Amino acid sequence: MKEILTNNRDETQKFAALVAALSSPGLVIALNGDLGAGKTTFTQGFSRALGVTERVKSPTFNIMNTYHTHHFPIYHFDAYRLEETGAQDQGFEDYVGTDGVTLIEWPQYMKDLLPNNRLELIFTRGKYDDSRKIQINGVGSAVEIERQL
Amino acid sequence: MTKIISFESSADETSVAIVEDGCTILSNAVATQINSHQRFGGIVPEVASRHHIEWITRVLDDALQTANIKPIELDAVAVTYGPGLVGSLLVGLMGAKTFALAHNLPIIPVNHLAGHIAAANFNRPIIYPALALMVSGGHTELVLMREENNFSVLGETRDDAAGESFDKVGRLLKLPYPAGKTIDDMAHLGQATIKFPTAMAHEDNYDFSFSGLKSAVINYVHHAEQKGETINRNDLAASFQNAVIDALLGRTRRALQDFPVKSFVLAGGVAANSQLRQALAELLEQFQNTQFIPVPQLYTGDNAAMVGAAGYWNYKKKKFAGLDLNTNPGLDFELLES
Repeated sequence: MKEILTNNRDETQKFAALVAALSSPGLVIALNGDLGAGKTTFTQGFSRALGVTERVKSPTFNIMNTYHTHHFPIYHFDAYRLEETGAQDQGFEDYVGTDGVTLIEWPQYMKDLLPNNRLELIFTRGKYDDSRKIQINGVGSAVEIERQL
Repeated sequence: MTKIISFESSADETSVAIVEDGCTILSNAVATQINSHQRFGGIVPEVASRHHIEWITRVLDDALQTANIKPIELDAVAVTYGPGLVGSLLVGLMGAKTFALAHNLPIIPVNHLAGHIAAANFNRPIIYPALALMVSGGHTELVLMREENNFSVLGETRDDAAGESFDKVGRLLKLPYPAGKTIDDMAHLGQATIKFPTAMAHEDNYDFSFSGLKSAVINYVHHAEQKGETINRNDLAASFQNAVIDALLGRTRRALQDFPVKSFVLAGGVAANSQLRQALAELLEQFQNTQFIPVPQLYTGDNAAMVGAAGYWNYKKKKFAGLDLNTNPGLDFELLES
């Protein structure tokens, strides 16, 4: 488990770009953290670093948004609305950890679909309104990404 | 007289309706997951798509019976094919296709967002060119309609939808979901004493952003907790709602100034918000040549009648689909080319 501190949105997005540079298709990143912790901000920085020009918006309502980089798709999930219903029978298995990079907000509500190899990021508020603590935990083969960060 | 039966299942509501000429509702049967949760005195552990499967034939029967219409009297089947949850959309789509096949009726594909806007026709006919503010749990868009059934997005949210920000602030205040109605009620009892930022008010575009406002509310609650202060929840609700409405109003004013239109439509679930309706009615008084047409409160949420209204637009243009019609969860309007 590693830990970094960011002072503002820009730094969170710069960190996201570092993670993006180490990503390859099949990777699943679980973005843990409360409302407003920086999960969508991270995903915006991550996608931009990989050349996504489309607007990266909150996927809370649609549960999944797809973005296109030059080389592979990004599947941006938000399981927030699945708290009470679970993630079964929605066809999400066809996307998570397949031909693209998958980022999942509120992964605790999609537990059954999380693969054993994944990068866990935990966002918590820092001392100041805009500062964040980000814990990095590579599970399985993703431990290599944690090592390089 | 054109009678269209329509199917809607993109999110929490399963609905079938029969609408005549895109404006007269003969029936509109809606089953919502929220109601079934309440009926059983708690959350029913069913996934959205399973709920739709349970309800689709029942609401279909109900729609036909209430309208007292036999399938042979119908002219077409309209169905929402996007945007929405793929598993949920599929249920309505398969229901519509099956019904169309069984009764040899043409299928009309309908964009859910067009449906929300078309519901204004239940108030009075939209006059073109028109501008629509589409605000819901999943969308916040200013849409220009140069003519009927023609949509270009002038501006949209860059992060959270307006309705989503209501639900998330609701969660922060531990209010029931969906929180829009409760926050609106609380806001009426409180005063907008807290100054929250109205994002992007000075930027040269028609876009929205509600993520910063969400963070500001979280920070406010967080600071109060740290200092051990009690929050006046009604004042907080009023201040938050004011900030959302300010943002929506500012962008709408700008769009109305730049694009003189004959009518202005307020649509989507957030259109039920009483303060927003009031504020926009007042704004529209400054635009004498623009008629204000809010969607009737009863039809602001997801329902199949609105799909029948939008379906009629496509029916007149003979925009039909085959049985191979698929869902498009990410369906959106085109952005205005600049």
